[in-house]
Amino acid sequence: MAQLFRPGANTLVRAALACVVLAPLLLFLLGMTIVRSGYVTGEGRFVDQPVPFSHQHHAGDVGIDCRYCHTGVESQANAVIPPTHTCMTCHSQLWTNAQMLAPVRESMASGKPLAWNRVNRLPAYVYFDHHVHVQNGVPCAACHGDVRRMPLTRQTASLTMGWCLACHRSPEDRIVAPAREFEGDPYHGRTANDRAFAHAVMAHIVASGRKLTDCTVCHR
Amino acid sequence: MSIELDRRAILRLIATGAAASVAGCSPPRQHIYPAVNRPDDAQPGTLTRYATAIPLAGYARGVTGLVVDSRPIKLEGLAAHPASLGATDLFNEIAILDLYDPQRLRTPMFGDRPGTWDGAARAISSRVAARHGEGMVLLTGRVTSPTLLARIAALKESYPDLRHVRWEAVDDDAPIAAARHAFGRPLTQRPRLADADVILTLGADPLGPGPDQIANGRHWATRRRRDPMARLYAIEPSMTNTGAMADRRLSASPADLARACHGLAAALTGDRQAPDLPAPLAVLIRQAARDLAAARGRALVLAGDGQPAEVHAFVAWANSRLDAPVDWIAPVDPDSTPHRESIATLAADMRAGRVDTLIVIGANPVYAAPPALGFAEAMKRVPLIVAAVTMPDETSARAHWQLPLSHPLESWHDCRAPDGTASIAQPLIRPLYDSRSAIELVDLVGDAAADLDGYARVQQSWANLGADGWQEAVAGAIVPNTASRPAVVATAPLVLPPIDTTFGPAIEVRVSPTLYDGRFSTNAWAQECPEPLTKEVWGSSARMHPADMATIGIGDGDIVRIAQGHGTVVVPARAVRGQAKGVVTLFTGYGRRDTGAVADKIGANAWMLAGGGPAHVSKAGEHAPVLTTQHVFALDGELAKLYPVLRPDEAMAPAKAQPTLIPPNPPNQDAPPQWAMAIDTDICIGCNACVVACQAENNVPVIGPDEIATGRVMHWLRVDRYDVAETGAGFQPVPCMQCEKAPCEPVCPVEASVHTAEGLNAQVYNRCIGTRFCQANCPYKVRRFNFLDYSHSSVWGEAGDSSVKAQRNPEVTVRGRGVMEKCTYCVQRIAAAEHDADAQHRPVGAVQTACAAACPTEAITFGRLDEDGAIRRARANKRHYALLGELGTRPRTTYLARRVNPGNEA
Repeated sequence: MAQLFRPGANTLVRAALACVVLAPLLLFLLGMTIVRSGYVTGEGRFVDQPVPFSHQHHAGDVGIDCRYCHTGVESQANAVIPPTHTCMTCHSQLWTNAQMLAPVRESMASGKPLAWNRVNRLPAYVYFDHHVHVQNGVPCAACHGDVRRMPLTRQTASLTMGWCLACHRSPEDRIVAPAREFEGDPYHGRTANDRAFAHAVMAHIVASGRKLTDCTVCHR
Repeated sequence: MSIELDRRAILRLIATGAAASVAGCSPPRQHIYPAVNRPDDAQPGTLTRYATAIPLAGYARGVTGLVVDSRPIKLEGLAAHPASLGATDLFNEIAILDLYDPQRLRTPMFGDRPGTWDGAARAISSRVAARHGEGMVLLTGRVTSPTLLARIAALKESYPDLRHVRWEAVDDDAPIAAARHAFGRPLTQRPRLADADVILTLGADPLGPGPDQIANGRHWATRRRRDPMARLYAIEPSMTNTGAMADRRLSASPADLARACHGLAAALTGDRQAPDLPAPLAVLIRQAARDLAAARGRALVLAGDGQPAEVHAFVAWANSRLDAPVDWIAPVDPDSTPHRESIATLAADMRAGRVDTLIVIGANPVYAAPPALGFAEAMKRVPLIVAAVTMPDETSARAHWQLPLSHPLESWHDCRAPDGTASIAQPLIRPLYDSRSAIELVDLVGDAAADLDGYARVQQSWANLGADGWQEAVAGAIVPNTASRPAVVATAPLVLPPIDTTFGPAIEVRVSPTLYDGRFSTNAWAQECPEPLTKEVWGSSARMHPADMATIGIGDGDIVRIAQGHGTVVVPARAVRGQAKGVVTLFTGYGRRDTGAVADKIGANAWMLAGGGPAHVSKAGEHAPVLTTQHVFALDGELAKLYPVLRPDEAMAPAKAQPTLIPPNPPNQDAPPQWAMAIDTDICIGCNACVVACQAENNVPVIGPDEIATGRVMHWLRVDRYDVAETGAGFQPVPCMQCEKAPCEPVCPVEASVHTAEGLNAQVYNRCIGTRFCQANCPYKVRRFNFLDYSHSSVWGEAGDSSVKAQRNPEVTVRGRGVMEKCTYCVQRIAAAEHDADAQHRPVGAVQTACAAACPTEAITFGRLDEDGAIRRARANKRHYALLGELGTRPRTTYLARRVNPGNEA
């Protein structure tokens, strides 16, 4: 008599069974991968700005220290994006008619602030404090990468909670001496000086008994 | 043009669409807007503190404004200011919300059409200039501001016929009249509560709402902390905060209170006939007189502002006789015309057509003036009425022009504290709307084309300080050496109040502890803040004695109609502890109209019954229970453990010793700070400053009356009120206990409730999925759940809530729907202190939670358990106990028991 099922039916059923087991697993793995990917975290993405500000030119070629513009890193939580006035301290005398700088001049003249697009985004329930990191030897490049090589600012790190915790659990290797914090590539050529400072910071943390992985350190 | 669509073409189109949508789908852009010109010392995103002062009914209280990004988000106390002493009261805490209130008047209004300041100025000047100021009246509240008084005087020079009428609904006519009688001139009595061993209050509420609450609370608490314990007697018609803290208290009708004065006079002089007193009153008076006489030089008698002048005169005599610790100063308010006389004369003049232009600044007579005056009707006879208000009200609704008045926090002004100390108050933000300050408005009336500059005027006023003196005065908000000096007074003569034996209920109209005289009715925080003794919110009731209610045939929550003179009020009645028989008490501030979504249609206007005269109370049918947040006040049986009450030298029974995580003494080098809190219920006066301070600091949303009706609350810190002894009441603030063995932690399925190394129970909002198991397991019921999106819904109706967002603290997450929240020991303040300490490589400094900072009596102490300090001292105190300690939760928030010192009956 005629067969009810085609020859491939067995294979189909076996494949379907395999899928029932594998598909959720694969979906789960796919989801976990996507969530950690640069697409979701923004790692590695370049962000357009109203004025194409080049850290490579300013911090790299010209050699301006990070703190000239980002005045809050040593004293407060907010690193501070500089006011238009800071740009104009130089650009009132240099490149005064450059087309690229027209929005800056317009901001100065009209009193309306420049609308920068945030590159390093943290969710609203994360309260990051710059000065406690900078004063304890964490270099700018640890999270922001070597900006002296960025013609347009890029988000270097994934900025996920897991990434932050990786350092919070063992900060010793990420700390350098204060003098070297503002270099482009501070981790290249860590010296005994750096290690000594890192050691001192770790000792202080241990002595104070505070746990850097307590939820309230970053979340309120 | 037609495209041939075959299968491949369609698939290509679908793929293109999908690719486009995926490419276009990305997290939204966040913008950063730095300032264009930023001062070098500005710290964006970081809190800065500025000293300033804000007035309540004209009297200044110093405040420290916490300012972030050029806007103030919270007010705290100013330590150097005599009326603040570093703390705040409820009214100072809620003032910040008034600044950002969406119901504020934003632009001049001509009738119901928007107008311009120019138009208003022209309207005023055209009327006033033509008549040279004849028939012009300036109606204000109490003015103590030297600059404003100087500007009004300057205006009077231009227009000699100008009359300045000063009127406050909550007036001090009776004490001033008494002083006039006793000493021949108006004087204000300033009691020194810190120096009094025995206090007798006759309807007085020094610990209750008013410009002096903070200073009174602090001084009273200072004495109470000292041994031997002081004694407080209270005779009053209804329960007040002071009566709650009294060691012996009696409810008395006005007639009985007058009898008490006679009895006290007889007892103190020994040569008078004592009248017939009801037995309990006789016993109390005998005992009080004995104690007062024995404590001569440290004995004090106080009379409430609402008492008639004769009672005040009697009290002046008693204090003279007892050599009481009081100072008499010239009234800080330079105008000593009785308030009631002023407003009555004004209403009569208006009705007779003698007023041509009425300019109202910061007064609301249509709402609060006695109804017999018919102020609203009289207003119709005035050709031009200009009302300057921050929030539209009943008076401004009937004015021709409504002008937006700047909030004190956005204008330069000066004012005087109740003890005379002058403050120069700097603004903390530029005016949010097109408003002017009172000083600028008076200048505008004088000259329509004037260049208005309140700053210049204030500087002019204080030119005698010099440049350095000005800097110091502004930076500290205090002008040194401006406190009034005590006057030397003769002995006051004996005056005995008449005993009024007319039949019928006596109506007592009391100032609301949350809404004051009605000026805070529009403030959502004030409406949602529970009234200290009944925990009523979003509504008012008439307090009656159960016997009186039975006579009329009503039960708790039944509506009554109260008629007196020209006023009728329809409110629910409640039986409340401590109410005197024959007295019906109502709170002011309700029954508002024309103000906006928050205050309109809530309760009834008690000012309608403030006129005096015979009253009639009748049943009005229906039942409308008032919303409350606490329903059980009596503690009996096992519940008595919740609020132990001790005799003066009694100690708490020792708690069973339990194994402890607390580090040994001396502190372990490797231990992080262990945070703890101690609350002294013996000196908590139930003022609710802490409740609203927490709300302001932690972005706690207002949920509105409908949600409260379903039994939900949102205040992280609640103040429970319990019955104490036979006649008193006690207050117990309950924040999160931050238990060392927290029942809320093991039950969270996602570990959103975790314990930190510093002893805090942390609530991580982004992990919370809203199971509410933690709330169910908490024995103290201190956890609050966002059943709805409270933070993004608005109780301000059509006005929306966008301006209110400016008040929010950027250091604290704004919680969304479905998230559990609770007191965090102000972890943002702890974190800020610890980050600063770590950055500067030094140990953590002192941290003060918002509630501890606000408390006038310093009942709440926050600090470290691992250091020798206030917390260790509190735990070593013999009155120390842990709430529900037998459950083994080991709370970090602990209490000191309340004491009552009734002494022996005479």
